[in-house]
Amino acid sequence: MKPPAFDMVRPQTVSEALQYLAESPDSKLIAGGQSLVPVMNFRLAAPALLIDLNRVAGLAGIRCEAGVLRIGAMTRQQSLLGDPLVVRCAPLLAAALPHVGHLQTRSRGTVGGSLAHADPSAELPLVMVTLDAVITVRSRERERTVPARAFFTDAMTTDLAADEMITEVAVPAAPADARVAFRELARRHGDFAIVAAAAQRTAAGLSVAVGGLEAVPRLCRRLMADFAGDPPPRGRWPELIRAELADAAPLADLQADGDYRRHLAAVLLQDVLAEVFAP
Amino acid sequence: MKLACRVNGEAVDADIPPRLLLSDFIRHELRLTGTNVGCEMGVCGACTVMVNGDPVRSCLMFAVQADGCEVETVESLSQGGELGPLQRAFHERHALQCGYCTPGFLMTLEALRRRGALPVDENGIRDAISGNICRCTGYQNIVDAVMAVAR
Repeated sequence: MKPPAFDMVRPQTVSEALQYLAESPDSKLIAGGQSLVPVMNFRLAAPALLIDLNRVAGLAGIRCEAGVLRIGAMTRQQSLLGDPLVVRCAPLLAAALPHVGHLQTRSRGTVGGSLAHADPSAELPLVMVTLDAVITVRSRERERTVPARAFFTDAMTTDLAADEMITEVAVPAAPADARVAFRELARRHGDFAIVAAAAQRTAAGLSVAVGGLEAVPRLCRRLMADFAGDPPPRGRWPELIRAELADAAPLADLQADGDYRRHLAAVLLQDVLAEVFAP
Repeated sequence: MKLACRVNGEAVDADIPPRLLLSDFIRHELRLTGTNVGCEMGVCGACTVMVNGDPVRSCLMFAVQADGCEVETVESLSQGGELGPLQRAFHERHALQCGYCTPGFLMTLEALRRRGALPVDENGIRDAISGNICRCTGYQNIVDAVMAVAR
């Protein structure tokens, strides 16, 4: 239950951090450490070098400009909770944040760290997929952007290359008339969700996704198309949700088997749809 | 690796390996054994301390990461033998049985108390302590104690 020995460096700038990352093959970036440290305590990960991002300037903070909410990678989850800018520009994120871990883990945990860790049940990846956020990543050589909808490639696996780090995530600001809903079921409030669902409805249409069901958050494209114009009558929703989930490949673990996860996904999808389409 | 921080108001300088967890540094190097270690995987909350006023799990932080920080442990809650308000409420309402989880509960709640953010209703309190596990299942008395302080 103690991590094996490693070295640690504390860069002050992004370029310095990226330099270490490029030059040390057996290194790992540490942001809030709320996922990495348990994994190291269990010795499931044993990097030779930890690159501590906590002193890197300019990676934390949020701003909303030109219709985009920009969140620095090292922004602490707790600092976003209740922030009026988040409530106004990304109400779905505001609704999900109370479910992200506990006060003690949110105080350290970061937005970028959660996205890079890519736990299938984590709330922030689900929200970013739902909102079609764009993730900025940098390596020593270049900077590029990846849509969240293409960023998560498998459980705990992302599009990040070994020499890249997340610097920012850009969330399209919600219009004033946006209606949002976030629901999840966890054994204990703040624990990882077994399944979670998120939805945002605007004049432009519906965006809905479900997390914890499959290896990566599932954007419910079929449902989004079904609800594109006038919403279908309530009586048809269960059948449309079933059709959406027909080809899902649910996760199964000690907490919940695949059939239960699929059932739960249907229930939570129904709930979030009911909330955003409530008269 | 060098570490210079303040713990319960006192300057601390140390030269320690990066792998040393903050929880172990507090207990084994500083001999402040009020901070208890439960799961060492960030689930139970027993090791909660405050770093720069934020409640954090000290088993999920390396001690060297506290460099330049203000660390507070449960030992800081009583001044000159006088129990702090949360400690007093826990004592009066029997909000502990074996007491192992108590320092973690107290430090989580102390952070909220100082911000004036202690919830006053039962649901809010249960939400606030959801990151701390009590295996004696004494939650009702803990909720009562918090309510007494919050009101």
